[in-house]
Amino acid sequence: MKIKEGFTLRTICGESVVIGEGLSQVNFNKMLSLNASAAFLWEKVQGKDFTAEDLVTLLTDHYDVTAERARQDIDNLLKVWQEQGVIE
Amino acid sequence: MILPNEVVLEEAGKLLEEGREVVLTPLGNSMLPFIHGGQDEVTLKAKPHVEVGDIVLARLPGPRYVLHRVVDRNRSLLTLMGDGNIRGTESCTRDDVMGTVTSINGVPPGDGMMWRYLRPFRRLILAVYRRMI
Repeated sequence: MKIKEGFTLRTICGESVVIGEGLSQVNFNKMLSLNASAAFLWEKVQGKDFTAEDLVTLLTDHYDVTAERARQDIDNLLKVWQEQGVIE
Repeated sequence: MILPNEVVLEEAGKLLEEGREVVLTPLGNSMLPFIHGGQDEVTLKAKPHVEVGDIVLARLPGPRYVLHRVVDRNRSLLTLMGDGNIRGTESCTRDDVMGTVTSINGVPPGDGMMWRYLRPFRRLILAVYRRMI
């Protein structure tokens, strides 16, 4: 899977927010708030093909978290990203 | 997700300054019957000229942001009024205008001239309209 084109991670008021952006247009109605770890993962995989397993590895390498917990978190995160239509 | 209005509008202002179009859903009903707060999607763009009849996003002291129509212009001094307001105007300068509405739900906005002529009857028309929506 990969992050769809047209979404950009911005920091607004200290919050990491993904906003739908075309070449000339920025749509504030297409916004998704990311916590620190989700923003880290987004930056790591943006523009690349990745699997859920890649995200689990990134999470366990960077944070002090067990593989089992990381897998649960990634499952939840991908569910949200899918629901919000930011990955394909 | 919902970010505070002032945060979104401040960020939108920066993007408009960069020359980009911004799409957002304004809150409040001060632009009824043309913009329904929390529902309608408006597209904004910074334009070199501001005319009477334009709907503009302006930064007022506070800062406070309004998306209202220009009802009068005296050189660079503008008078704004919400279409859904019966009285009360705001004054600002051309420099306070961050962007102009270029479409509402994909349709270019009119200049609201007829609506301005109907100002004496607004209270009645809006009261009926609010019951209908």
